[in-house]
Amino acid sequence: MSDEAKNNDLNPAEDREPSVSDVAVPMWMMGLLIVLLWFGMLFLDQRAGGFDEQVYRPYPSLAFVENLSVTDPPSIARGRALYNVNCAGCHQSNGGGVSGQFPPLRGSDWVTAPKADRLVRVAMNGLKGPIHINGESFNDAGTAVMLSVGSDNKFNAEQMADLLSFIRASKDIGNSSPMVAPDDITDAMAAAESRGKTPWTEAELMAIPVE
Amino acid sequence: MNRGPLLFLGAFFALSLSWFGIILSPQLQIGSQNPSDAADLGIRHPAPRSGDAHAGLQVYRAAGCVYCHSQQVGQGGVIFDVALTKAGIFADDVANAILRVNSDLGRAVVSNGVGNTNGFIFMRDVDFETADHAMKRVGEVGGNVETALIPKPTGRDIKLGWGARRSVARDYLYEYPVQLGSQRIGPDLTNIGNRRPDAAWHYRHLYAPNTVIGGSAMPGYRYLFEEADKEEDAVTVKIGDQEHRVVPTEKGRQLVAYLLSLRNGPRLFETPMPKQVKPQPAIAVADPAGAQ
Repeated sequence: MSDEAKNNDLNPAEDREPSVSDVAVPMWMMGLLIVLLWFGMLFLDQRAGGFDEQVYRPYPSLAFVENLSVTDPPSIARGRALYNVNCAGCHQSNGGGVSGQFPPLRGSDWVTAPKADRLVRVAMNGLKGPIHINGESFNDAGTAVMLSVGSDNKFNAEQMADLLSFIRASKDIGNSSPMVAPDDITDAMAAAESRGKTPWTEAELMAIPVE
Repeated sequence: MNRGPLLFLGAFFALSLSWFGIILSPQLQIGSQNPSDAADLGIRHPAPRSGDAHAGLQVYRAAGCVYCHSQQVGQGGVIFDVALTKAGIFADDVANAILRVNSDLGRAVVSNGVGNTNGFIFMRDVDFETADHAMKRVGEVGGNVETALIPKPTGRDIKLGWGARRSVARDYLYEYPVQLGSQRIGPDLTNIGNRRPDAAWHYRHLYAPNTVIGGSAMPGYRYLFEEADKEEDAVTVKIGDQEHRVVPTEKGRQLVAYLLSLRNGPRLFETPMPKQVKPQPAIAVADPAGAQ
């Protein structure tokens, strides 16, 4: 230890704490940095597409991409795929149904009602017993049952909304009622949760307002 | 150290600036992306992987495929076709306007095309300004004439057939970890499921790459195979004069399932493409006899 102390005495500069004196950044460097920053911002502003997540090179802006994109509302397109797999077997791919057996969806007063609350419940839980559509009665014997399409979490609310929007508002089916939002599905399901998963009957559904 | 607090603040701001730039802002920008409707095709993209394909990603990682193969398709630019979708009531004037903007077309071709109700592409492979100008000139005729712009991605990767469009952030939603890769000693694998839909081909290729791709630099991955007496997925590989009849192990099967699940997805909102581009049919069945 005494040796080290001796060495330090010989070289006192190493013993001092380093310190910073007042040295200003040269003005020319500040100027250069400001110019570079300005150039960089211009560069980004021209090429970053407004930092939108849906704008990629070489497209300049969201408006440009939107212009090139398809016009069919996406939920109708997705609903079509779901319908063809899950519904078209009975209700037919044009929604016409089969007279006396499978009720039509095209022009049906159950489907085209101002609010979709009854339709949502039928799709989620299914339907049993006789039913009247546009005055015509189906399933008088009460034996046939429409199976539940959406229970058991097979579809999420968004997919149900796609499917029902397709039924209510697509040219394929021939209806032009308002589309169904995912919130409509979750609201209707929350309201009917206490019922469990038993299929609805016509009498029960008529109690639900759709105007 | 007479400026301790200043140094601390300097380091703190430098680090937090990079955190904002590299972690937070990308998270805000693309962190909440969801699988999307694939426009008019009625399918979701990307679809989550299941079973073997999901496990295969870990085999892909462990085998080090990423050191030689990338999974990102670049797009150099976009060119446009212009189509007439509806001629309207002044069909003759529309034909004249088309001939003025594209004099390479013969009058017979144009008058035939104007009569075609399925759409008539009267300009091909032009830049946006030219296409826009042509659409305006034709649109001026009026009488319910309708034209459409058809964007076509271009670039080296697309020309090589590695994908139909560029990769976007949404394509990687179910990749963890994302196997982007930075080397292209082998080809890009973004679209390998569409380019090589045959599982038996992949088995032969993984066992002995040289037997299917002459001069391939890829090493064989024989530990993914065994010489078991099983029928399922067995392939016969001929190396020199010797014939090897091999069966993929569980890992080999998982890796191939993963490779077949790699598809450069369909059109998304952010990557406009011509409507005709549809995904290929689902995975092909492996050739049981392993015949070439």
